[in-house]
Amino acid sequence: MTDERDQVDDPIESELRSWFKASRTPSAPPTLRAFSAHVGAGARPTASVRRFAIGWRQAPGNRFAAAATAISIVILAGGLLLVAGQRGPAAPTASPLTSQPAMASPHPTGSPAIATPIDDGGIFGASGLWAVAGGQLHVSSDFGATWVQRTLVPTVALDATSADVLSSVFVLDASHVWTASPGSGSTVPYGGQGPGYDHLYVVISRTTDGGATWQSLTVPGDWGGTQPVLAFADAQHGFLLLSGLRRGGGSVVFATTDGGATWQRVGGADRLGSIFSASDAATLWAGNEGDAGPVARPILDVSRDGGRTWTDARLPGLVGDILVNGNPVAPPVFSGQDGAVAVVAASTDTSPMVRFYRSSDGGRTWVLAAQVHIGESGSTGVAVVDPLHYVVIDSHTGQIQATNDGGATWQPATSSGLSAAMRLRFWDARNGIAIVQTTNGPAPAAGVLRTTDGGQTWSPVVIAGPTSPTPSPDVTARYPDGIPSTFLGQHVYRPGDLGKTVPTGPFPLGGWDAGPLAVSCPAIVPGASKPPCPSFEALAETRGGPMVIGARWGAFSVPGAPALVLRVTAEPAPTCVSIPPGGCPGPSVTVQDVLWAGDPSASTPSPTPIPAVQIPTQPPAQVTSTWTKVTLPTIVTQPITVGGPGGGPSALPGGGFIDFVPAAADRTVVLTSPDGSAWTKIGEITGKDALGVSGPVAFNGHVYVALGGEGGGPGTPYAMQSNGAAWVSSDLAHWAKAPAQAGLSGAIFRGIAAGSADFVAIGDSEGGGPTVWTSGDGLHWQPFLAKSVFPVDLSEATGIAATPGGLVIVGRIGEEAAALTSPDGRTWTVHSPLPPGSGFFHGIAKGPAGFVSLAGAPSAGIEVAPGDFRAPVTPWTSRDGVTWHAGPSSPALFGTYASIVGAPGGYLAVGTIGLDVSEHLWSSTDGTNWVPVAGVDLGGTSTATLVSDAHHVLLFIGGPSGPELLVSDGVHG
Amino acid sequence: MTRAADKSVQWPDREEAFKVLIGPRLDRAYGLAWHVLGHAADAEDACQEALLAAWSAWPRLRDPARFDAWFDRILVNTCIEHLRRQARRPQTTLPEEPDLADRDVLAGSIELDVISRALGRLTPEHRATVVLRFWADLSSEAIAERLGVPPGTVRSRLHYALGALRIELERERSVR
Repeated sequence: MTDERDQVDDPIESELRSWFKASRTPSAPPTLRAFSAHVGAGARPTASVRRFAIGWRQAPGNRFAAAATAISIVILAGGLLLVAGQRGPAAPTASPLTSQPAMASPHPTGSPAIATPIDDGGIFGASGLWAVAGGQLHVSSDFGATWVQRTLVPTVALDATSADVLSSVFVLDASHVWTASPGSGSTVPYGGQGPGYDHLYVVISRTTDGGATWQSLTVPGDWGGTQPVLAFADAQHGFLLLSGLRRGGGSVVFATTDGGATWQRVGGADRLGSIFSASDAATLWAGNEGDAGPVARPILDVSRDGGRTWTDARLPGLVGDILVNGNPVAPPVFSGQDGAVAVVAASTDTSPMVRFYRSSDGGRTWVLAAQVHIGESGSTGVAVVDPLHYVVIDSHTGQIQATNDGGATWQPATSSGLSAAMRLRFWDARNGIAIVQTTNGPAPAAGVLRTTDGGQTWSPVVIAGPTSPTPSPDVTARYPDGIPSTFLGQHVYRPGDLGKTVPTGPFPLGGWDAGPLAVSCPAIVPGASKPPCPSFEALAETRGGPMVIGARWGAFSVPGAPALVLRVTAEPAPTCVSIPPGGCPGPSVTVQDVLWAGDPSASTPSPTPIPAVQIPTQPPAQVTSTWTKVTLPTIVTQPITVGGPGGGPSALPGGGFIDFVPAAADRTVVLTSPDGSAWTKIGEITGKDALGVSGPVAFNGHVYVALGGEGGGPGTPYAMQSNGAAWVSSDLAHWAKAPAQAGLSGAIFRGIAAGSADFVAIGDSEGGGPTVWTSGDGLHWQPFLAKSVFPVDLSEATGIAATPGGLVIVGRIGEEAAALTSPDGRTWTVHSPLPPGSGFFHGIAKGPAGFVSLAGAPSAGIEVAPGDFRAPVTPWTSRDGVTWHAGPSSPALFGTYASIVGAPGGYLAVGTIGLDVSEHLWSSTDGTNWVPVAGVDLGGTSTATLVSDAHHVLLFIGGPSGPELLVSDGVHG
Repeated sequence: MTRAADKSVQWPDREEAFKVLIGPRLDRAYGLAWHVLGHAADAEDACQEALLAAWSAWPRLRDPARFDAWFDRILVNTCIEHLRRQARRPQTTLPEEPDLADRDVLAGSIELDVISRALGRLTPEHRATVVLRFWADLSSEAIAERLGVPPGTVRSRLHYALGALRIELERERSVR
């Protein structure tokens, strides 16, 4: 196996290596080191990272804080969460507010009372307090004076380190509480990696009797990449915001009008922040994540139609040099039409400040009412008690200020002694709490102080009951002999290698230097409609003997899903002083036997046949096509040739090829060829975006459209971002560029076809994911985000082709193959023609046997290297793009592939074979039976692309020695 | 059989385990962010953000031996998102050039400026891919794991990124 890094660099690669080597990389600055040293202790970013300086977001902040130590507190106030987690000086001392009576010390001398340490998360409701201490839920209905123990909805873990940790709680009153938590099958909740990586099935539980009884339901859909937040206006009207995380695809709002018994999706927006509240049954607020830098997105969004549509609440002044510290400190508080909201912001040359905005028209317009400077750390506790009464505490210095006239006058700042107080919450002008760090025990912890006199005096909140730390639930799985596992891995294994010694690649397994083993998830979970491969985990443990590997899904929560325990031995890769013939052997794993198969939670194991994923033996390569190397013409002024950095040749509808070859900074030469062998310059494209045209090309009988990109430089609408672009020509010689347009922002095209009415392009748009664009003239494009066009999430569109009845797009929806057909490019019908687990379509080619697509199921394959799955590939054929027929899974097709084309006499494809990382060429006469093609050496190159005009096929090879172009007249048997 | 270096999953103190893992890697993380973002302050921001994200997800890292790839992925995603945010902002001035002053490389070297500017004009994904390949010297497969894309996509991105760099460098040099 050749390491591509060892290949001979081309000049640009050598230049880059030299440049990186010469540009001496700086070491981490001291501020970053200091920050790093305190991450686990609740560090907050320095002033330069203002986005995180104040965190109302429960996740990941909640999880971060909760997992850090036991000092963290989550405050829920009307469904809104505050996060604390910063260490600082403890044992605040009394200090008077100017013009106010002196505060009492929260730790008065001689007082035995200390604040009860709060465990992983505390939950505080609007009119009552819910807190978790000692792993138990406690409820107070008198602002913390007295507490009783309650039972939380049983399916929800209280330990934030658990995968099914409570994600959102809304406490309306002492009786009515709703919770949101990840349901069965969820993976890495709130991991922020986005759809395709995260899976989140939201379970909403509700109680109307203060937690005595609960009812639960699962919200339809997979909402990976979002953070659920609940808000209720009253006991009947509530909302669930699935707030899109960074890698997510947007935010969605569900609503209930029956207290949570049923939920309906009502609307959403591109991205709504997770600071969520409902002023009434129609008016919702969502505090957005701020930008570090000039604020581009709304900090506060509002919906006045129950979550259906959202607009910027337009807090003035948060533009230009103003930086926003993460989020609004608090959602708007209203009394009738009068309201107030607080935001932490800073300009580039002043310290952070809290800005208070007021509204007298129900939040339709806001004015800056006051601003209070706080310490450079930006850490603060802010309470908007009512539209006129605010309290601010600098959490670093402990200085506190308050106003009761909407910010017109403030009590001068003075030390409150609550220097570790991170968050304030006032229910009214008198009753409030502060979350502080305590050092009552051997380890820092969080505690709650309460005031009943508007902050003049504070006393520790004492919660009776067990206070022992919550035991870690890291591993609950047990092996058949009942010994609990203590070790977790996360790779999958290949039961088909039972009894075999498997050479593996060098990646660690479960903390051991083992290697990749794989298992076919769909086969192991017979009958499962959605094999939970993404959540597949494995256990690995030595226990003094051979390594024991157990496989499981999530928390064994998939009904009927058997668990798998294999006994294997693993050997690390030896250290080779000299390379022996055949190379230095890598690590190996020998699967010895199946220890146990069945549901670990069941008393009687139920042995389950374990099908194998076999690496097939490759059939011998055959000379099924002949290839001729094309002598590339050289453009006069530049040593850039056909196949150069313009994207490579494209096929012309109707026959022939075209290539757009960059010739200068503002000039692209247009070459055409009738057969791929001889190329003729027929025109030029000039202008600042001339280098962007690359293909592919479509023709609607009147004009040609070539796709490409623009931008990436100064003067373009999106700065560094590259956007999609299109060029139009009626004669292939003269091309006109489509104007820059918002619809092509960040677009990367994958294909184009001419439909009966419009050109239709597929690809991905920045932030929008898979997208379909239509254009009647090739100049003006209308994007349709897949999620808004198709009834389900289209995870990927990999190919498009014209059919007798219109157009077909192939790809996948989640892990299922999908074909989408349309008569006009505007209305689409989804077909899921393949059995679950069969994989998904990757590209489409039209040839003698009709349409052919190759379907691979990466998640069911063998992971030859982290993230690189090799799987059986099944050829599928179709005459109309709707009805598909599977061919046998050919050994020659085992692996992955990059491109497939129809050719005279059959089909050709490029991809990997078996476990080889190098690419190879395959051919088939019928689209079903495939063989490797002999006589064509792709040389381990990193890229090889096929292009066909149905008469000739071009093989464009981008290799270290420069591009090569081969031409073939098709497949011959 | 050799045990991988990290045993933190068995450590009772996750905080300590996290620190032990991240400490020796901080310089490299900062360097990676610095090269992807081309700006010292942005790199520090991204590192802090990634550290917080990593800490929040730390309980879910089942295999500490994969810490490097895991943290790199968080960091690179953070950097890419950072670049995208920059790109989304309407700007009337050029994007901030890489901190050439920070590069102690015969700072007046025009050639270095040229490459730096060319890198700065790549898309975030392409730039990250190039840095992971030519600065971090990672294979396509290793890059794929860090970017969460198939290796083929990495190779494709490298191809197009290098093509774009060629064009940019030719353009830069043609005007000198």
